[in-house]
Amino acid sequence: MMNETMIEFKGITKEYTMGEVKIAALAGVDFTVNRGEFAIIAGPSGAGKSTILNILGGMDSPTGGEFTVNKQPLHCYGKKDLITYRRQEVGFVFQFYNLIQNLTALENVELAVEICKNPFKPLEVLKQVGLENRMINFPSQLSGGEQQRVSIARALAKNPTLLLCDEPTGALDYNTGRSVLKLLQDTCHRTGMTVVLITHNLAIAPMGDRIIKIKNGCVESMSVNATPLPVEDIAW
Amino acid sequence: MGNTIIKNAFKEVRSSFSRFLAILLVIMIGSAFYTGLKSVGPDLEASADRYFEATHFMDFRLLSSIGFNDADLAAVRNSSGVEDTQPIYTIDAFLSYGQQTNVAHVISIPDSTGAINDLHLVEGRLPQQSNECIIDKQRSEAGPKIGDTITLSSGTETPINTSLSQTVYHVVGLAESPSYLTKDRGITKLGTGKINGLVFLPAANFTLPAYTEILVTAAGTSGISTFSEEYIEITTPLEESLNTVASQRVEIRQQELKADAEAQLAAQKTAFAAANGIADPSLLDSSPEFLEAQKSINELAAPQWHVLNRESNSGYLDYQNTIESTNGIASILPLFFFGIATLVCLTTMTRMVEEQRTQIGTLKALGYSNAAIAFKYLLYAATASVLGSLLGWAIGFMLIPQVIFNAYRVLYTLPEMTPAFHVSIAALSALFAISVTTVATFLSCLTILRSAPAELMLPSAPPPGKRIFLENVDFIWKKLQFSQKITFRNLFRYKKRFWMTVLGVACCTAMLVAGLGLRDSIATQVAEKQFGDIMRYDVSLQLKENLTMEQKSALVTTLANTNLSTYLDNTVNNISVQGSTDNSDPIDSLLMVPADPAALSNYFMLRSYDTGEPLVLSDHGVILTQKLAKNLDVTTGDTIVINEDETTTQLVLVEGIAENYLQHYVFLSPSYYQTIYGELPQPNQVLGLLDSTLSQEDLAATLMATAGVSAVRFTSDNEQDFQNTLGSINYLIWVIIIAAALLALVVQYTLTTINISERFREIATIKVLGFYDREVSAYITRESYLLTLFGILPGLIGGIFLHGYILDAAEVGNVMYVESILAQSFILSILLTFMFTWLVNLIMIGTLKKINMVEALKSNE
Ligand SMILES: Nc1ncnc2c1ncn2[C@@H]1O[C@H](COP(=O)(O)OP(=O)(O)O)[C@@H](O)[C@H]1O
Ligand SMILES: [Mg+2]
Repeated sequence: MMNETMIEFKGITKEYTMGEVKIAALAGVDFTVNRGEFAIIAGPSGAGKSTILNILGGMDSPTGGEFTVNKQPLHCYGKKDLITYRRQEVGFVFQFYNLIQNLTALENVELAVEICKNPFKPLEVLKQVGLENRMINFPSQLSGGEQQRVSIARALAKNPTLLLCDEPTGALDYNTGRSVLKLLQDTCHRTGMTVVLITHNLAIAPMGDRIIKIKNGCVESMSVNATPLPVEDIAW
Repeated sequence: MGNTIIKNAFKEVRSSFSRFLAILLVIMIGSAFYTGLKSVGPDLEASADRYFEATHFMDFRLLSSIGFNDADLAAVRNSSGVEDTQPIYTIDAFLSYGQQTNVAHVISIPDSTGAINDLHLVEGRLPQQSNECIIDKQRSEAGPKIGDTITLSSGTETPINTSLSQTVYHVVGLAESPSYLTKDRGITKLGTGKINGLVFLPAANFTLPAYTEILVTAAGTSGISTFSEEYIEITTPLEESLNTVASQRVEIRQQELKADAEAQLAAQKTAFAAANGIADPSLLDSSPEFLEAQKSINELAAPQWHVLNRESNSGYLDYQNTIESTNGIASILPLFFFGIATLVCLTTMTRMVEEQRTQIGTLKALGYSNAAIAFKYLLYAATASVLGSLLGWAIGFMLIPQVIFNAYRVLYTLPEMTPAFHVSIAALSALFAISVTTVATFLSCLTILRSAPAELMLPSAPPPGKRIFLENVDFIWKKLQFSQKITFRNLFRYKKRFWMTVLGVACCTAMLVAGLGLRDSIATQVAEKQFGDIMRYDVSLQLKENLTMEQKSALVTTLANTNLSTYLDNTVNNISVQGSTDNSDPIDSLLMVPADPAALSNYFMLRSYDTGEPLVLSDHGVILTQKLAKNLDVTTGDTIVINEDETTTQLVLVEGIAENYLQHYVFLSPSYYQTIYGELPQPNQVLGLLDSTLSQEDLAATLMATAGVSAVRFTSDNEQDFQNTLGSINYLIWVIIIAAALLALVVQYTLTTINISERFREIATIKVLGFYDREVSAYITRESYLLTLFGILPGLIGGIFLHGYILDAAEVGNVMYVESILAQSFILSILLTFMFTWLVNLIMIGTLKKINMVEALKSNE
């Protein structure tokens, strides 16, 4: 199963037109990720990591190139199909959590699963992320780490085929960041969900099953890591 | 204030143009509405003032029971405060033209132009020969044109040549007179009691021994509006001095009359004595016939003078009432608009300042003063309000009064109106507009300017989530779907937006209810009740004076043969009515004496204005209609004074007050009529019910061909006339409805766009979660519809109050409005409000679709 291709990017380009000038955010990106892998996309700020993730998640469309997720040719998809794809197959975790302030932790998760076909029970997912005691709290009553856990629970509860995380620890302190990374890694290995995580911090790359390094809108290198380290063994 | 700040403010205008436009628009609507409604009154006043100035409209009109002689005239002319006097002759006479014969009021034209009550010549020329005349334009519409010939006759035993040297005249001109602003020509003792037209003749044609009237103008009124306090201040002393002259002259004239009569009697005695060979005529003093004559000389009553000011002129009074009524409508409504403008401005500016907190923080950190930073926003808002005011003035001063004035010109004979710019109204509206925007902006900036720059650099914490009261009400909360729970939570989370929207929606609904309600009260329901419930007769026949027996029987035969199913003989007279206690102004009314009071309810429903109980005419009192009672300030049990013409009066008891909306009526039974007038009434009208089938034209032709019938009038035509008259008020109401609708749109648009911009991130998040476009819009629009729902209820209630207030201010004259608002107007107001929400939501769906998730979620707010 580990060898089945989940994601395939072929010559993906993305250009932004700003007045007269064209900025190439992605200048032909190729990579693959297999099902059930914990893939880490690492690179300096402005390299184009977020752009890749947004395209991968169906939030944005590439200017050129082809890509498939779970055998679906997403570059051919129309707007509505992309929404359906996001709805059924993708879970997002953002740097700034993007929780809805007016909903409790539980309700934030419920809102996401409302529209899914085979979701997990929100309560149980919240238990898994260790928040069973904070379910009735509003985001403003939670710490940053707790909020990020709610956001992960929201993404997981959808039972997605793909979990995308854009700098999930960017706004967290060191220890909280580590525990969030651990949660993601454990979830991936436990459930067999494919996880793609973005970071500018190369130090955490060794915890991934696959490491894709991005520089100036191109893939600098891609390597499969046969012995990913548990988070506990990494320090930075 | 550096240039940078100013440049920055104008750059802001470009980058947030829709917001700028929203402020500009609400201010424009507010100013247009304010200046427009407020200037209608002054514009109406100004055009009347110009007309009165140009025609030298009299300030006072003197009447006397015995006419005026030259000594009277001299005395009046010499009283202090008089600028000019003009004696005139008038008589009422029958005017015959072809088949038409009806009553005209014949007035002398002064020899020189520029005299008091100068004619406003519309067509043709002034008479140059003694057989030429001018008639009023309105009379000419129904008959004689320039070049036609008319014949005047007295209609009484006294031949007309005791008052006029000629009886046949060529019409050489058509004119209007400032004494007759409305279509109403007044009342007369002749014919039907109603004057149909005016005839103007050279004064030399009159052979009357005394002047009929003296017209007076007051000194020092030129350039002063007749509707102003100053005018009253100038003319009141003159009125007093004219009254003093009147009482002196009355005394003198009485002595003169006595002396004349004594001299006549003495001459008669001398003649009698000479004829009968009696040496000393004084021996005749004790003979019965001369004793009788002497007694009547001793008891000779003083003649009566009446000093009438402009308000005694019914056209003038009517016009003045219309102005008051218009001012009433204009009184409170425009302020409402500025209230809503404040709301829109406050929300918009608060949002704008909030969005730019980081920029403000940077400017503060760079050392810009609070004043300089606030100046940018003040400049932005002030620019919008100044531009909005200017546009508003253009619409307000040029368009609105013109529309309303054109409607009023159907009712009043006035020359063109020139739209005027009223500095004080403009200034006040600008003051409102600018204070509204600056105060709102100032309030918006307040918290942010108080914060330290460092605080501002951090994103503002979104308002924390909170449980709402509804969550404690288990049996409701548990039943709600998840999405409904979210909707409720969101509604109550943004408290400010909640109240603003509810208030905005409420105001708009209230204005729609008031506007549509005014239409119901003034036009729709009045016609329905008056012509449906109250005036039940379908046709009225006016009969000629003193019908012969043959004419009467011919009429009865005709009535039996036509499809008039039933009919009622009635006597109708034009009278004026006054309260018995105070010296109030006389109010023109119709005296109605049905031949068979028991049958009256089939023709004219008399029912109590408050209980709705039927009222019955008795033998010792009268029944008044509602508005007349209100204007006279009398209730059942009071007494009133009935004047049959300008000099004879009767005191009567009020026994009931009947529901009625148009025209004042006083109803009496024939026996009570006999009690007070000493004779039975002569029916001069037949009220009939039709059982359809025959066409009205055929029926009218048959009836008119019957001897003794002078006019046929169908109630349906009356109703049509009424509807035409109300066309004018309808214009005003449409202005209100359209303005309310526009405002509703702007308010809802602003609040919704701000809602969306405040919740950009939340919307982007649910998009990322995979909500389809229609689910995203439902997420937002559900809230809009609910807020609209919450706003509508207080709006409906507010609308009822607003409507009542305006109606109260607008109801003047002999019209009574129906207070209630029709159910369909409430429904229409609700539907319109929802339609505006729907329309705005429709626009918003486009905006929602365009929200770019990637951009929205990029940074931390
Ligand atoms: N909407 C946009 N318009 C113009 N340029 C953009 C836009 N979004 C991203 N870019 C540019 O594309 C490049 C890649 O951005 P991003 O994918 O966000 O980088 P990363 O996530 O690796 O820091 C950057 O140079 C950025 O400036
Ligand atoms: Mg990034």
